[in-house]
Amino acid sequence: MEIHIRNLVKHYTNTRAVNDISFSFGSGQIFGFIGPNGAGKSTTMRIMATLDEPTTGDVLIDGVSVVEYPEISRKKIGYVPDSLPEHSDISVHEYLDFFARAYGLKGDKRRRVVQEIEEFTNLMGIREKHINALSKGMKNRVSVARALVHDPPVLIMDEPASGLDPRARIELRELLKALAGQGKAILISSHILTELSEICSGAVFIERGKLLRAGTLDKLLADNEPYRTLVIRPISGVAALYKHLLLQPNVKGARLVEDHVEVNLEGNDQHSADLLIALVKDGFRIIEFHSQKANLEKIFMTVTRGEVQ
Amino acid sequence: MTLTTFIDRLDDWINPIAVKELRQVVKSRLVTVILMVFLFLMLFVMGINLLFTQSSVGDPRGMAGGRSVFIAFQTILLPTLMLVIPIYAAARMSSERSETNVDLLFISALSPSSIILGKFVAALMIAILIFSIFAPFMLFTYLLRGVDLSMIIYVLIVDIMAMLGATIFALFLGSISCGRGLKIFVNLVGFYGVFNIWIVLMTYTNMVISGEFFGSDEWSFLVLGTVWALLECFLLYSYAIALISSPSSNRMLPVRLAQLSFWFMSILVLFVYILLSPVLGFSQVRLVIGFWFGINMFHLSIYYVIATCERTECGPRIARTIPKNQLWRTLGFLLYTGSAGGVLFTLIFMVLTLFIVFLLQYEMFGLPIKDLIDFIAIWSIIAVYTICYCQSAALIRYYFLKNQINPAYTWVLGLVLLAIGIFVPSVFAIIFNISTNYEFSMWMIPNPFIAVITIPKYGFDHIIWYLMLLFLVIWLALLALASIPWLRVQIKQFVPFTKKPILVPQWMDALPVEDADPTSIKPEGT
Repeated sequence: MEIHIRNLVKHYTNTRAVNDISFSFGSGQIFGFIGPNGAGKSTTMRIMATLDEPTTGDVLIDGVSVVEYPEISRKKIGYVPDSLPEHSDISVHEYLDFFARAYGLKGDKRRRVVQEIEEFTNLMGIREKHINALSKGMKNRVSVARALVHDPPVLIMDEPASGLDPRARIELRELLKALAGQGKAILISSHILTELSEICSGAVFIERGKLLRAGTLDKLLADNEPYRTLVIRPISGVAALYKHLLLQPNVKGARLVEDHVEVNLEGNDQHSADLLIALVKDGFRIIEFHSQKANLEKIFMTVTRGEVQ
Repeated sequence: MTLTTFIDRLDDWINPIAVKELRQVVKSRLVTVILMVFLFLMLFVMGINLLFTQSSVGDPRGMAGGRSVFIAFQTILLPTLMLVIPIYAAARMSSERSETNVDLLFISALSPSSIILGKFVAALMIAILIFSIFAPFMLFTYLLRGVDLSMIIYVLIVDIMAMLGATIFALFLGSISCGRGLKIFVNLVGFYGVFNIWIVLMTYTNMVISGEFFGSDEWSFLVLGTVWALLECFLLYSYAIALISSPSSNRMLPVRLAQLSFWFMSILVLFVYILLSPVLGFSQVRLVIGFWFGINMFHLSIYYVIATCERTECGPRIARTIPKNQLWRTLGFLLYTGSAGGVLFTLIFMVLTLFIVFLLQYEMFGLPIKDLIDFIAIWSIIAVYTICYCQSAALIRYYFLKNQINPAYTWVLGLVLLAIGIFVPSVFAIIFNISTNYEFSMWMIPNPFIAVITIPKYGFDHIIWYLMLLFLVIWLALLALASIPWLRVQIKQFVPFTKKPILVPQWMDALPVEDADPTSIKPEGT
């Protein structure tokens, strides 16, 4: 399953909300959709969800055009809007059952699917509670559960974490990881970049409707910083390690930070592995050795200029 | 098939929106409270009337005790059906119409028509609940004498039709997506309209119950009224569907098909009525023809306003359904979403309506409708003014304000032009110190309201009538000329969808794209 956004353009009367955006992502990937307010994220997501029509360009979901075949595309998309369900006099179970009916699920299959989703999203304990009596975090879970009733391979989530407390955010993060583990392709817009860094395998940056940068996190990090940063922590002798590292080939710089060293290494995974072997051979007892995670905040600040339309 | 299997299948078959609505109704205390209040109200009214009737034993009026009780019940039932249920339905529709809820429904397998139908069915179920409270009491009035069964059936049919009409109208109002202020205003205007119809129907049904008139004309009115109410329901249903449909969809197609069906069905019923009138002794042929003409011109005038607010560019989602065959494409142009198509569609049916009503005036039909000319002229003038103001707004927007005003707001520009047409000549009339009614009327020609008043006042042989005709003919001619490029562009772009090659930028790096050539991919199952 691959999702290709191709040359997407959306004009409103005198505004160009989306201006020639193209990027791709696929099964098992969580892509963060990042940009300032008014950048065109929601418009792009609405076009992907078949709720809006692009002025030009297209979105191909597993090869199916959302412009030409919205009915087929809808079966492949689960859309989680930025607002939470606010239905009165309806329980969580009835709400999910309603959407399962709305997606054409019938009889035993519907009952089974709804139960499975309630179990998966940890809603079994509150299935008889009324929706408007739930907390934001729980409503968010219901919203995700609703988007999953027809088992879509693609999830589009517009600011799902906004307004959630830390526990709800962690729960949502775990849920997204589990969904990606099931092979779903997820596009998620959020302002909380530190959280996106932890779950995303890629990111798309847009501003003023234009795409600034897109790709996997490694690629973005490599584009943003010429060297990869490694974190190396020995069991002891961190100062000696620091001095030793400065003498190693491909090491372009190092910083001593408390009990570990941050190293700027030129090269790829192979070079990292070579460095680790060399250190161990030289007698250093390494207990932590990893690449520093992409700092989306840093990339965001580099690529955007804080402009909105 | 076991009972459980049957119930399961039935459960799957019922509209999901209706299921959800009824679940909410059952859980809501509001409906239970309303039902209990009505039950006690009926008991109270019945008790009071029985007490009153008992005190008048020996009085001949006591033989008509059922009639007064029935009128009392009707006084409660009709507003409940025409106001309470529709208001509840509109409130439920408005809550569903909130941006996100409708979005979620759009991307499900539910069609906009099934959303409206589900809401309508749910409202009907509540109406049935209320009827189930009223029915035993109303039947009991038959035992009290003074009303016969045919009268009860007649009034109940009127009530049901009124309820259907008011409910679908409420759903239509609830489907409108606009700001809170405008929404309240629109709903209040709608409520006022329904309230007035309720007063008329209340008076009419009370007269029927009182036996003031109850002949063949009343039965013909019942049949005509029922057909009219059903056609109006169908038309409003199509409008409600269009209102909640995705803007990129071919949302006006169901409306135009409904408009087409309304026109043809109404003319069929009209001809049947005219043919049966000498046989069954109907005496209101003139009234019925006039009503047919007025209601069709009213609908077409309203539709003209809507047509000018439609999109002028054909999006890919509509374009992919445009037929390749030239004949079907021409028909599609008239029926599919699009401003020019809508305007042409409306004009064609306005001319046809006028043609038919003029045809019916010929003596060979032997119909006493010569004096309908005033009525025809007034409705025609209203239609022409609507065309002039709306088309002017559409063209001004198209040529000068394309980037400033969304087509959906062309009606606002039309209102501005109307306001200019009404107030600017008045200012000039005051500046030039026009004092006589005659001269003032001349200045008021751009004002459609004054023009409508002028026709009955001065008649057709007066110079003001000719000046008005001249003014409108010149305006229409200018509009026709100015509309040619507007029309040509829209006809030209009404062609089946052709896929444009999509350029893949070099820096697109997240996934390999060579296997996703959009020009070679076909969706599953097609």
